[in-house]
Amino acid sequence: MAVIDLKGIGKPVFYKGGEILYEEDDNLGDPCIYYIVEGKIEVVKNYNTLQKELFSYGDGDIFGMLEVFAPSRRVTHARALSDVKAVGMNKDEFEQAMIASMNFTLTSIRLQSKMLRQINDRIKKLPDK
Amino acid sequence: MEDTQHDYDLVKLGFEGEEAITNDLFFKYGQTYKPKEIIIREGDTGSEVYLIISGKIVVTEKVEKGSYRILNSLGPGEIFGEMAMLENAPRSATLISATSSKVLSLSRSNFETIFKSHPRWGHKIIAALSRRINQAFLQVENYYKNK
Repeated sequence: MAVIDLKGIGKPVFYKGGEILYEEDDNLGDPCIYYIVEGKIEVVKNYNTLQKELFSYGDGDIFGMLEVFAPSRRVTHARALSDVKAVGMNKDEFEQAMIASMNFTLTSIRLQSKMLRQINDRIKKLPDK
Repeated sequence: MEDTQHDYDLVKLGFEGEEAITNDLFFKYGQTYKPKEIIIREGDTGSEVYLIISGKIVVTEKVEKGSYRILNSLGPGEIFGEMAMLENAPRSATLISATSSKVLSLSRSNFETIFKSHPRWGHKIIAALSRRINQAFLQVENYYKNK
């Protein structure tokens, strides 16, 4: 996937494989939204001790958006599955990136939509109580 | 009368621009649906994305002939059908207008044109999707809690 030109918005960040970027209930840090240049990340939502939802992200993906617009504390946790090179952004920089690149905007919408579709698929499969 | 009560809720929600912009977009791309009218059907192909201007639209799955189970509901400022536009994926649910509803029905090129002239809309759409994801998380969490 071609790297999106963010025109210098955000700052480069690096994580080692296995490193935790944020955990559930953490306050939002700065940066709080990440554009992955290279590497793999998993984002997990734990429903309880047995049930969880797993989301995988790779090169060219954007993650971390979820909590920035709603609860303000992390409801998921994120971990690097490999060494990761990314661009970290705060909320204002994320907005600037969306204005700077239609491709970035469409990728953000697609990934949020994909996340929603995955959860809705689970909801559809939940048996009636 | 019911129609006018729902008009321009998108503007009230703080979407960029004035009523005139929404009015102009509705003139170009708008569609109105009656209560209980089906907007898109699960499994169908189609490449339009829809942005709700006013009204309430329910996301459903068909359980038997003519019977639908409501999964969740959407309101002004929310988007649906985006996966079909972005990934050519079939429609994942049946969307039914619960009230009289006004939507913008947009092809990918119209969608991009609008977002270029109103870039903050992208931000609002992400916010609306994030709210829906958090609601869906809560729905699943509550299911397991009460099981």
